[in-house]
Amino acid sequence: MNDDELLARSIVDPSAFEPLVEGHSTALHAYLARRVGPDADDLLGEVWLAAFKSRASFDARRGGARAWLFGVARHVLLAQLRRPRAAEWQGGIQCDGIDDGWDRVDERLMADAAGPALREALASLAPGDREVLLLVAWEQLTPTEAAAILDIPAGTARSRLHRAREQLRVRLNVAGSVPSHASDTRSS
Amino acid sequence: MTGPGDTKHRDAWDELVAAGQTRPPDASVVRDAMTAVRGAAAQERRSDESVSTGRRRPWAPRWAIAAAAGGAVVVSVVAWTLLAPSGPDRPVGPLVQGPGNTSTAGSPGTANPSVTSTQSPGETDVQGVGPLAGSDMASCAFDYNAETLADRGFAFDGVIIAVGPEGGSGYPLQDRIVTFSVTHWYKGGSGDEVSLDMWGPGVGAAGTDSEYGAAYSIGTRLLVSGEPRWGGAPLDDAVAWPCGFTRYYDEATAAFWAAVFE
Repeated sequence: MNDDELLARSIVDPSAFEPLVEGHSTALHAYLARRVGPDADDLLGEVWLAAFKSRASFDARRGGARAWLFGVARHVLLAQLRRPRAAEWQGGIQCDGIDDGWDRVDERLMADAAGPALREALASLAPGDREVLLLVAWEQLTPTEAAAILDIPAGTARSRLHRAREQLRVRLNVAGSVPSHASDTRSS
Repeated sequence: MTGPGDTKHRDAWDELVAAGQTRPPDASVVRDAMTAVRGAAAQERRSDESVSTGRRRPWAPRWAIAAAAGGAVVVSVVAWTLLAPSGPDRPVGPLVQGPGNTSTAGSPGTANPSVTSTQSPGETDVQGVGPLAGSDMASCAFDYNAETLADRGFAFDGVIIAVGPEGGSGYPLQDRIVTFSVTHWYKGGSGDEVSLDMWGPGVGAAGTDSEYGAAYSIGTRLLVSGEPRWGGAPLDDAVAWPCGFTRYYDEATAAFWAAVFE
């Protein structure tokens, strides 16, 4: 039974939801940890609760279960960033009036001794472009899945990805293109 | 494309990917998440058990039942699989709670909406009766009835004032961002206007322009209910639900909705 079918079954048999928790927690936790650090431990439970409670809203037309789960995680993350406690993160890049928490990500990259050139290059990207790039590079999502998560047309996601790659290439002064795993060839 | 031997490129991408590496969560973190989900499931079961006391009418989505039975179901929320278009029911007046899962008012399959125009939002008003035409082109997760309606995150009575660009990523049904002037909020919102995703305007049961589109235009007055796409606040990435949960306005149905959401 694939993930889409498990979600369907979980409507009448909630225990069918449990394999999803087991199978996707590591990826969702990584997504959260890359953006809010240790707070990911607390947020992961919130994500799964939100996903369970809204599982009837999963719409396969808009992408598979994996993309939907990341969409829920992103929603929980943005809600977290809107909370008063997020005031400490002021200075984050505004995206549609929302702090996207980039400063927090940047701090983590710095702590992990990521190259300053890479950090600068990422910081220079438009938030929307960067979000697509990182969903593809870090979460191993396809551009189409990223589009579903961000509720943008797939073509827009692809153009954002292309633009982000180009800017990174210029900034890092290396020739390159998106590697094969960042294309839309992977089945979802 | 750069060849696999392009070490510069590979290094740049690898550096980006490596920069995103994190430690896997502690087992206790996943265990806590699982416990939270099980708790929510138990709460849900308790709620369902109240059915036997008469406080809550049982229902089960057709597609979910099929999935539970092992059928190869293409999941979707409001779960339209587009396999078997059914005739629009005609819900005039209060719904009658009948046996089983389906509860509708009036006789199902009686009237097509009185569509006065087809496509082209803004050119001619479209006003019908019952479920929004075209939105029934699906097999739905939930039957429309008083209880499932009451469970929706938001509900309002409004008039379409704008039909925007596609709201989704090339979805088969081509959602649009539709803006309403809200006449009355039943649940989940406030304010004079609201924009949400809705399946694209077409001609519904009567037309030819769009196989799956719904019949509406600027000026169409609808009773709309739905859910936030990702959960959360009612109008976060709000999506109007088809399958009877979005209907053409009429006084009797509006009165019924008012009673449901009171």
